[in-house]
Parts: sequence; structure tokens; C-alpha cells
Amino acid sequence: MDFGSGLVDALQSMMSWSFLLWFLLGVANGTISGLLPGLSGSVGIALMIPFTFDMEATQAIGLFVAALAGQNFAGSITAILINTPGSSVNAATTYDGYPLARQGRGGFAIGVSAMASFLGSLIGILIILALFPLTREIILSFSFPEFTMLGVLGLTIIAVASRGAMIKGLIAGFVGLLVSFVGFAPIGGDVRYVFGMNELYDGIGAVIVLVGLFAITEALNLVVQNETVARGIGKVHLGRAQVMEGVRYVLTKPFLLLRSSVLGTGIGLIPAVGGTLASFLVYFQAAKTVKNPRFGQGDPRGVLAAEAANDAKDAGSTLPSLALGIPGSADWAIVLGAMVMHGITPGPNLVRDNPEIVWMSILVIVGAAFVASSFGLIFAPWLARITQVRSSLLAPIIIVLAVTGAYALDTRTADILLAIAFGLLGYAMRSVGMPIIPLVLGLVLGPMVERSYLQTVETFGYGVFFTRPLSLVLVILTVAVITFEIVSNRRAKVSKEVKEQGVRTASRPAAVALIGGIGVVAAGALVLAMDFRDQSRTFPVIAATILLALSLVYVLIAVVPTLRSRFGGIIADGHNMEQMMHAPDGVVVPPDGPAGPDDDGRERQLATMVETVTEPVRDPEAEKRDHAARMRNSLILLVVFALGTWAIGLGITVPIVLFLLMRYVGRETWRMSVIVTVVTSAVLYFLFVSVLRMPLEGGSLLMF
Amino acid sequence: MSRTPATKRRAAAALVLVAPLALAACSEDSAAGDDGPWEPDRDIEWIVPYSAGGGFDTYSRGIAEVMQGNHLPDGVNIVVRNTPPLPQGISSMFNADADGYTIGILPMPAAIAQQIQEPDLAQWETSEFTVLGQVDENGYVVYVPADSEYETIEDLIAADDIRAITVEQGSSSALAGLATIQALDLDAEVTYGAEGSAEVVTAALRGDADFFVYGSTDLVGFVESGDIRPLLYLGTEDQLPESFDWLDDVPTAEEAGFPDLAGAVTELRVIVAPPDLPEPVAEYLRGALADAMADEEFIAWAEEAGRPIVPRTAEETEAAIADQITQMEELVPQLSGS
Repeated sequence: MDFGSGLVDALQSMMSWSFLLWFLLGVANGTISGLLPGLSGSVGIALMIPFTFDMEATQAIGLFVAALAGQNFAGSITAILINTPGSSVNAATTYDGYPLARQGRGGFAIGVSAMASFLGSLIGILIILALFPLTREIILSFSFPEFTMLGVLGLTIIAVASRGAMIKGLIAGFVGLLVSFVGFAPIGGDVRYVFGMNELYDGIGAVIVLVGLFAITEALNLVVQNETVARGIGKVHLGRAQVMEGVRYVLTKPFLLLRSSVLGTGIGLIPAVGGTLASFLVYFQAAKTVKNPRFGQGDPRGVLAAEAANDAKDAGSTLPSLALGIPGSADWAIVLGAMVMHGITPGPNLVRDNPEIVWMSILVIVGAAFVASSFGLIFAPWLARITQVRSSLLAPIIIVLAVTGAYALDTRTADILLAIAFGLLGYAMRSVGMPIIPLVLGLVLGPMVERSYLQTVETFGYGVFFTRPLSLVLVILTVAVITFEIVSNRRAKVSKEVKEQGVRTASRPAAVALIGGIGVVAAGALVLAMDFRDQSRTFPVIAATILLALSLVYVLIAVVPTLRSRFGGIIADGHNMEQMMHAPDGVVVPPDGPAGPDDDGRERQLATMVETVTEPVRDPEAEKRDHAARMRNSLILLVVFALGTWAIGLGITVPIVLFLLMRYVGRETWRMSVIVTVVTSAVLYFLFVSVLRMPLEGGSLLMF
Repeated sequence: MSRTPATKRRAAAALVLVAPLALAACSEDSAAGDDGPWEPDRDIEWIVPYSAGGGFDTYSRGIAEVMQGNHLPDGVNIVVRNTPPLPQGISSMFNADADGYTIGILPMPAAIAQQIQEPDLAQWETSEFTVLGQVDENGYVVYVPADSEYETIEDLIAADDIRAITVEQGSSSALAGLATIQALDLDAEVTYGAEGSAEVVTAALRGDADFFVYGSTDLVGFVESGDIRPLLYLGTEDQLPESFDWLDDVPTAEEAGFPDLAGAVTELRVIVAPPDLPEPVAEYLRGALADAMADEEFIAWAEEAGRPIVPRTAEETEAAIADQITQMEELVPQLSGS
């Protein structure tokens, strides 16, 4: 059977009602697991495996691939509406998606994301079809040095992402790296930083950290500030018109779309390089190449670039996955395993023996992206209403949903405690203006860089980074990015006043305390690293030393007056990407008339407003006390949540904490609190226990 | 989550079953109490100490499906749980309640090798597991990329300064590789850390490594596609699966003059329960497992999935494990010393 005729076979086997049904179920599975923070798509796919044993192989694989392709877009919906990426691949979408939602343009952002996802996937598939004959050459030209340098290039994005608060961003990035060292060393055989806790042996999962840093942190922020996501915008019409405007918007940016999709596909083609890297690299590519960027303040081009890259990456990773059997991502790993179970072995023979499977996967990927995006467009106006739900109801629900999702992943109580701990860390970081996305980048890219660096050195020695052409190109690109960043940072004129203000906020006691604490942790990590074996030691020692140095520099400059006046600029807070995300207080986009980002005048006007407009203050003292009380209560309740889960189990703790959060932080009425608690608990129970069969275990003190 | 018709049915069934289940829970007696025949009345958890998608996972899901469908009481399912990394997965298998509701698949000789090499991590005693049976044994093979200059194993022995690629330290494949390097006295270095068989093969195809040692059942596709060539079979004659014609012309370690290497490291996929499983429970599970592995449905699945099976009874498996423990106690200290 030749490859072309496989298309006919594929179409034939797809033209049946049962195939269509399984396909739609797959998309629904992907969409729902993408929407639930904490549940990643791979979990959703793994859960379906047992139900497919009696199915025909093509249908089962159609179901899996549909779930895989359907989830990316869904993850962007939560990233946009509640600043919680469905999984780390959607993290870059929060940069602009969430500010749009805060401006009451969540529907518009979803429209952009839906269209960009679908077209990105389509372009990606067209590219891989064109490249099909070259698959092998492309895949085999990337080896350990190239993997390392791609990861390093990704890490330099930290510097770009934290412009304006460079040193804080770097500190956050290195904290992420340290977190990535927990558990088994990729090479060397050591178990690092587990402190005898079994649960840490496999490392701290990115999903757990995301749930904490994004979902819990954002929910805390909303409830403490007592705002809806879309704030101060009572009359904004969240209807379909907004969504369709987003769809049309994508079509007005064909070159950005094409560029982002091509880059995304290219990164997907390289085995072992994940989607997180794709979306971030492409996002910053866009930020550096478009005219009049307002990235970080709700520039729809940011959503467009990240989401197009994200879906194109999935199309790209079809090739290594199917043609060589190297899973392009965790999701593909499960799909490949499922294929084997159905008697189809991915790898070099697949294209020859079962071309119809390859064709079907390709068609399903595009089809699923289309259907998922259409689902999104249809439901977007309703979903966008989330942004108008008052925080006293929304935030507690986000918190319990995220924590339950984190637990469902591996049903380990330790994950709940970790998620809550990262939620508190994220909240602390955010309140002192430290960006959290660098932490995610460090965590996700750390293992990849460490593993491939050690493999490179073992296999080729140190010099190889500069002698292999592809690797050299990546080295040059990395150096260029850093140089560009330093130069443009220097050029940026900052008025003396703004700088002084920045130094003042940067040397607040809270900031100094947090960074001093991080420095202590770094010192501890460094001491512990001395006991590791050679290969396991290299990275922890480097990362901990740099982190310690950065924290020391920061603390010294902040507390020693002479240093502060001379070098204050180094630590001064500016407007980094993430602060911008939360900056546009009071920025009201006129409800009618789209905020055309091409409309230069308004853009500038908005930008100035960001800096000058402060929220109208009613009674500053009362408001302050109110904030403090809310914050105190919610922090106490999070600790109660963690302790309760440990002591009496999730099943009992969730309703109690949910109720207390609504009643004593959100100040809802008794009636409302009870009703919402009962309904939410019932839904959670049905979803996780009845459908997902998550076992509800008791805690240490109460067993059942 | 999407609700497939099966889940819907299950959810409905669950509602109907709530009342009797609640009653059953109240009257639940411990299996250890009496010596009468035992039958499971709730789901059995099956631990796989590797992530989903690999060989151990595939075998586990294949057996679990047939076992719950045809050889367990209605309504009792086997829930496969992936709990990597290896030491933690094995520890959780060893330390679970010995009540028949937790079983798992144990990789040998990795389990005993880890226990010797990393005594701090290995919170188990390999010899104490309750053995239920074996589904497969996988002799190792020395492979080279198809375009390699090494045509025979003698070429490889004669070569200077060559490199092997393998997965993580302490895994069965890495041990097999080290044992080979030592037995053949190869002038070879090893790069560790590849994630799975496909990465090992692509690294070799890229030219990052000259050879690698991997299981005979894992890379059939790459041999058949002509990407890689087998040079030496490290298993014993009776471990050679009949269906593998491509191994017919490959010399065995014995034929090549290394009888000590033959079968020194062979991967066994063993199904175990925690230590001290009550006898009636063990008997029941051994029976159900043996029946499942003999089931035509399972045999057909294995054939279709290209997964050879070498089922063995609990008794035979226990003997094989004891042998490997003795072998490894001798071999591992030598390897770590080298």
C-alpha cells in the first residue's frame, strides 16, 4: 500500500457514524480536561484507555488523537478568563489573554484564540505534509547539543519576560530551576532535595505548580481585592459580536499567524522539546517583531501568536511521534502506548504498513482543532460571563476546583499541600512585584537542559556547542537575545522620579524578606548539593550559587543606603510584563467600538492611563482594614485547607473550606454560601468520584 | 470528562449498586481471617512502576483487560496505576496492604539491582514479594545502526573507543549493557539518560552512539524496517521466542564464546503482590492470572500488539527470581566497581 492510497482508506474508515461519535467524544474529553485546571490532557486520555479495548483500532486512535488535539484550545479559555492556564503550554496566553478579560474583552480573546488555534493547526499540518519526505533528516539533525541550546534559549526568555524587574525575574527563574531538581536526577542516579518524603521522588509536577501559582494565587487576589475579573465595566456587552470580532481579527494578521505557526510547527518537529517552549518562544518572537506592541496589556496579537504556535506544535510533533515512535509530548506518549495496545506500532514501519493511520491522525488533528474551536466559539459568550461572577463566589470555587484537580492527577495528598504552598508563594511573589512566569519556565525547561547538557558533555565533550552548525546558530541566537535585551534596557530612558519610586517599592520590607528567604533556601540547597555525586551536582551547584548571589545583591542594595543610592537602578521595579497584566486598573475600554490596537491614538492614550490613573478611593482607611481582614482570613483558610486535607481528607475538607471561604472572606449570606457549597460539592463529587473514579481517602487522623 | 457509553453505564450501575455496596462494606471481613476460598468484591489496583505507554504498561493493561473481563467476578475491575519512578513504584507495591486489592508488575532484575546499588532508596526486599506469575521474559540483544561499520560482534570487540547509549542508570537495560561491556571487554563509554527505546534508537541512528543493548521484544519494528541490526543475543537458547525469525542468524552469547553472559541479565516481567499475602487470596489471584494469560483473547491481543508472551507459573517464576538474585548479588558489585 503506498502512502497516497492510505488517504482513501483513511477517509473510508472515517466515514461512519460510529467514528464520528468517537471523534466527538474525544474532542469533548480533550476540551473538558483542558478546561479543568490540574487535569492535563494526558490524564484525560489515559482515563479513556480502558473503554477502548473492544473498539476497532482506527476508531480508538481517532478518539485519542481527537482528545489530544482538542485540549490545547480549551486550556487557553481558562488562561484568558481566570488567569489559569490549562497546562503549561497555555501559560504564555495569560500575558495578554487575561488583561483582555479584565477589560471586559474575554469573548474577543477567546475568539482570537479559537481562530488562531484552528488555523495554526491547519498550517502546521500543511507544513508537515510538505516536509514528509524529509522527516527523517530533520529529526535526526537535532541531537543533545541542540536540545540543550534550545532549552537555554528558552531560559533566556526569562530575562526578556521580566524586563523592568530583571533581577526579580531572574531570581524567580532560578527558583523554578531549583524546584525542577527535586526528585531523581536525570543522570547520575541521585535523589535530590526530597528530605525523605516518598511523594517527592518523582519530582514536583508542573501541573501542581501551575495550579498553585496561577489558580490559587489569582483566586486569592480576586477575593482579597473583592473584584470581578472584568472590572468596573458594568455595561460591556459580552455577546457573540465580540467573539466574532476576535475571529475576524486573526484574519487581519496573516503574516503574524503564518510566522507563529511555522515556528510552532518547527519546534514541534524536534523530538523531546515541549509545547511550553514553542508558545513562549513564539510569543516573544511576536513581541519583538510587531509594530506598536502593547504586549502584556491585552494585545490580541499575543494571544494569537501563542495559541497558533501551540496548536501548530501539535501538528509538528505528529511526525516524530508516528514516524519514529518518539513521543513529542506527554500526551503523545500516552497515545503511542494506546496505539501499541491496539496492535499498531508507531515507528518506521507505520508509514509503510499503516499509512491510513498516519492520514487519519493528520485529518483528526485538523478536524479536532476545528470542532474544539467551534465549541469554543459557540460557548464563548456564556463562558465569558465567568468574568462577571462576583469574586466572593468565583474565587472559592476556583480554589477548590483547582485543588481537587491537583489531587485527581495522582491521588496524593502531598500534591494538595504542594499546590497550596505554591499558591501562597505565588501570592507573596506577586505582592512584591516578582513575576511568576519565569518560575514556570525554569521548572519546565530545567530538566530538559540538565539532561541534554550532561548527555552532550558525556558524548561529545564541552566544545561541541560551537562546532556543530545548528548548535552554533542557537548559541548565536541566544547571545543576540541577551545583548539586545541589555542594550535596549539601557536605552530605555527612565525619569529620575519613576526610578526612585521603583527603588522605594523594591526595597519594601516584604520584598527584602521574601528575597532574603529565597537566599537562605539557595544557601541550604548549595550545602546539600555538595553531597550529590558528580553529574547530579553540576546543575544544582550552578543554579544555587547564582540564586544565592542574586538574592544577596538584591538584599544588600535594598538595605544598605549608600549602595541603594548608587546601584538602586539594578533592583528598581519597573513595569514588567506581569505587572502590566495587572496594571490597567481603571482602564475602561469603551463598550461599543472595538479597541483597535492598530488605532495608534487610543493605544497611547491607554498606555498613559495605565501609568496615571489610580482607582477611585472611597474611604482609604476602611478599605485598607477590609483588605487586611480578607487577606488574613483567606490565608488562614488556605492553611486550614492544607491541614484539613492532611488530617481528615479531601472529601470532608472541601465543603467546609468552600463554605468558610464564601462566608468569611467573600462575606456571602448564609443562604447563598450553603446553596453554593452544596451544589459545588455535589458537582465535584459526581465529576471526580463518580465519573473519574478518584478514590476518596481519609486523612492521617480520620481513616475511612 | 467525556462520558463514554461505558462510563454512563457504569455511573448508572454505581447508583443502583450504592445500597448493596454500603451493606457489603459493613460486613466486609478481612481475608486473612478464614481459610475458605476468597473472591474480590471491589476494584483491584495494579501498580506499574513506569509511566504509561511503555512495555510494562502495555503488558499490564493487556492482561488487566482480559482478567477483569473474563476471570474476575462481575463488577470487579482492575485499575492500572502508573507510579514512576521505579524505586517509588516498587516501594509502594511492597508496602501496600496484603489484602489482594493491590498487585503490580515487577521488573527483574532491575528490582534486585536497585536494592543492591541503592539500599537507601529501595524500601523493599525483592525475595519477600508474593509472586503471582510471569507474563514475559525478554532476552537482551546487542544492536548497531544499519549503516554501522561493525558487521559482527567480533568487529565490535576489536573496535577502540566506542560509545553506547542507554536509559537511566540501574535499569535492567543499563545493567545488561554494563555486563556486556565487561564480559566482552569492550573499550566503550556509556551515555545515560535516554527516555525510552525510541530515543535510544534515534541517538544511535544520529551517530551519537556506536551500539546499544536493549530487549529483544522492544525494537522489532526498527529491526524489520532495516534501521538497526542485531549482533549478539544475550539470552539463553530457551529464552529465544520462536516467532522471532530475525534472531535466527544472530549468534547467542554461548555460541560467541561467552557462556557466562548468556542469560546473565534477562528482563522478567513478573506480577507480584505485597509480602505475606494470605494463601487463599494468593491462590485465587494466581489462578485468575494464569487463566487470563492462557485466555485466547489475551494471546490474540499479544500477537496483534507484537508483544511476545512467555507466561510462567508462580512456582517457576519464584525459582527464576531466586536465580537472578544470586546472579545479581555477584554481578552488580563487580559492575559498580568497574
